[in-house]
Amino acid sequence: MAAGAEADPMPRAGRDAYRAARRKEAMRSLAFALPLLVFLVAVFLYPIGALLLRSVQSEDVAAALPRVSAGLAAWSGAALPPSPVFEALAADIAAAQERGTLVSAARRLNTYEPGFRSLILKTARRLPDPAAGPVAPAFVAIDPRWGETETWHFIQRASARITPDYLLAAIDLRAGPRGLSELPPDQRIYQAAFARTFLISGTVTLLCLILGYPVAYLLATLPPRQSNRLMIFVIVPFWTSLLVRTTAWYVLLQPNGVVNALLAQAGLTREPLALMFNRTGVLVGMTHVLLPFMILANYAVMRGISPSYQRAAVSLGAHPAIAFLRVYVPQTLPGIGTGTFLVFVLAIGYYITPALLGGGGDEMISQLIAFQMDRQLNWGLAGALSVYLVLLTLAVYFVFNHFVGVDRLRLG
Amino acid sequence: MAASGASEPFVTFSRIRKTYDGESYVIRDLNLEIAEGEFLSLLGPSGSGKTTTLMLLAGFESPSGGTITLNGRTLNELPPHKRDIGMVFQNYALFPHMTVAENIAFPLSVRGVAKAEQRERVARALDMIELGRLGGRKPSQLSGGQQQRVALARALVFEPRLVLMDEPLGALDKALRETMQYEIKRLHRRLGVTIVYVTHDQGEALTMSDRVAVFEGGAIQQIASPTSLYEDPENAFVADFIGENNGLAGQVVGFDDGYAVLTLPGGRTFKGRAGGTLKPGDAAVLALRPERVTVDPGDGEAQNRLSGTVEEIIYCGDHRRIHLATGQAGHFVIKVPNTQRTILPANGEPVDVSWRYDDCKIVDARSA
Ligand SMILES: Nc1ncnc2c1ncn2[C@@H]1O[C@H](COP(=O)(O)OP(=O)(O)O)[C@@H](O)[C@H]1O
Ligand SMILES: [Mg+2]
Repeated sequence: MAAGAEADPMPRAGRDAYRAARRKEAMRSLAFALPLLVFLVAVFLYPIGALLLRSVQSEDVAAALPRVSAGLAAWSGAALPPSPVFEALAADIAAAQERGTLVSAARRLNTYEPGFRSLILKTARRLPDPAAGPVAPAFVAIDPRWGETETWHFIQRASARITPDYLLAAIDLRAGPRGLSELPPDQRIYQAAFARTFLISGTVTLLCLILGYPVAYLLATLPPRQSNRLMIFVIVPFWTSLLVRTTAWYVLLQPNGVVNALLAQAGLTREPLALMFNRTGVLVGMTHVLLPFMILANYAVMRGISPSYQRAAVSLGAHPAIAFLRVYVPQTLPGIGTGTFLVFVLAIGYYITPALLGGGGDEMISQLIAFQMDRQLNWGLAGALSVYLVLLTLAVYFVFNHFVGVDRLRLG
Repeated sequence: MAASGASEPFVTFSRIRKTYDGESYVIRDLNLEIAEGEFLSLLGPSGSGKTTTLMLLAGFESPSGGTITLNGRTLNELPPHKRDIGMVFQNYALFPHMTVAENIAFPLSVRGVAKAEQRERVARALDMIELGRLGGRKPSQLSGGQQQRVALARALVFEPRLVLMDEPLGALDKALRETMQYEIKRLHRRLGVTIVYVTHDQGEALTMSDRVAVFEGGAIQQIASPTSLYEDPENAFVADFIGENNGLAGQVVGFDDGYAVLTLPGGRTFKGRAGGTLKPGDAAVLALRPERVTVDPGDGEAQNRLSGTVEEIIYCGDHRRIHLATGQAGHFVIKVPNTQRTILPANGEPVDVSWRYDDCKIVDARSA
């Protein structure tokens, strides 16, 4: 049969017709997906891409101080720049002030060295007149920092249109005249914040697993009527607004809230415990919010596991606990993997709950990104932090895919 | 391997009752003795309580009343994992995350058998089921028949003296089912284990078993060897359920020369061997196998006679089936073997048939 099929291939016309039909089919399915694709590109891929691009773009200084940027391009950095650069600076500052672009350039420079912003603005107020004599000493007279090569070094770096500096700053590194260096310990924020984000996410994931696995097991093994009733308790919170659920914890966790009142009444505590605006609040709130994902992911897998496996194991002589551990749990690994992956990935980017229940100095990365965007207007740094967050998420995804397989991802 | 040993029975059910909901009994008053080394089938329609009986013995359900003993020991309080009963489930329940060898080693490993001995016994078990080289595969990479063999090997490898099988061949196609029936019988003979085998396929039960227990409505209707079940049904349910049967329903009017006399509602009487507990006045059924009837008016010697009209003749290769319409006896089927040189009547023709008193049995119309 096989030899016959080889000797007698399908006629060319037949193959072409088949391919044409397949192409038409593919085009039609593409047409169905087109609105979604357009939507995704417009509101998801494009903004995210733009934000990520911001992490390497640096237009402010080059735009505000074009002549200085050009003058510094050839500067070696060994000594102070020549006096034309000083003159260019005076002219650029004057022009930028007029155009209103000076403030954003000053803000950008401030990200290199605190105080740079006030230096620029102060200089702008008392700008030396090139006609009145050599400009360089006049700048130094306004502020001695103009006489330091390091100051000019920062301006040089800041005037590059493509910069690695935000990406470096987002992991507490800085490019100085003598290469890369770590920020002084008191200024390092982000490495610790990434570590903290991982730790909080990991803890939340573990708590969700410990709390959610038995619930999923119960849901999957109870008779359908009871199981459906119990499922309501999982689903209804899932449908409830995130904000409502998070603020509900205020009521419970306040110093004079329900939990503290109960503890005090039971005589377990004298003073109210600090349960919110700290790590405890974040863990409690996030675990609560993310628990349904863990439960549903495990439930979906467990529901497909016939009880006859455990029965078979017991009939073969295994104690029920051994049967559970050696026969049931391994079959739920896809559920554990999916739940862990979902909860962890959602947790590392989580914002509202830690923002509302967390404490100062204990922020997660998402809070720091928001802070850079809303308060500091430092979109470059916000973009850089987002780049790392996206990379971390992708790394988690690849680890998950390697061990569990994304095709096994299912929910409900 | 016969059922009736003088010694203590291996398994006994005495006065076992089971209810799941507290309202109706799924098993009512079950009494059963199984001899060591016996192959006993539980045969009955779906929902008749076969699986429940097996689960009671395995320990996954506990009886609502009565006691079960195994080898002289009362089982009621013994948890299932300590019963040492091998079990084969309908869907095999092979552990999907373990290889074939790991599946078979599982009962040994939970018993703390040393690794080296495990390997050796698994290898022997794989040889026994002729899957020697497939030990490293996952169950999902095996065909249905191969999975079935692995399930068998896993249930036998720890050398239980009792093995329970719940419709183990139900998921296989016909040809494979026959091979596996033979295979299971071979293992049974070779190992001498006691097997309790649940099935709803009477052919399977009759060909494989030493004895068959016919279940209906949570009770055993009859427990006997395949031959007795077929030749000597004790009630109308068993007569109808096992093989093909013509049932003529009427009333026992008396006994004559060792035969029971049955009168149909229309007044015709027939004689046949009498079922054990019948008394005059009882509702009864004359049970008659289609192949015992001859197309012949008979010579009147200890024979029942009946006349009717041919409705249809069906050619079945080795025999013909003739459907008759008879007045009082209703619809009637006879089987004529292809060897008989009888000249058969044509459709719509009247015909006289007869059968010997000894070839039919008059049994209780009620089930147990
Ligand atoms: N776990 C259970 N809970 C409630 N009813 C059950 C359960 N298992 C079986 N039954 C009922 O008991 C009766 C007998 O079932 P079963 O023993 O499975 O019969 P069979 O195996 O002969 O088909 C059926 O009516 C069935 O619905
Ligand atoms: Mg059953």
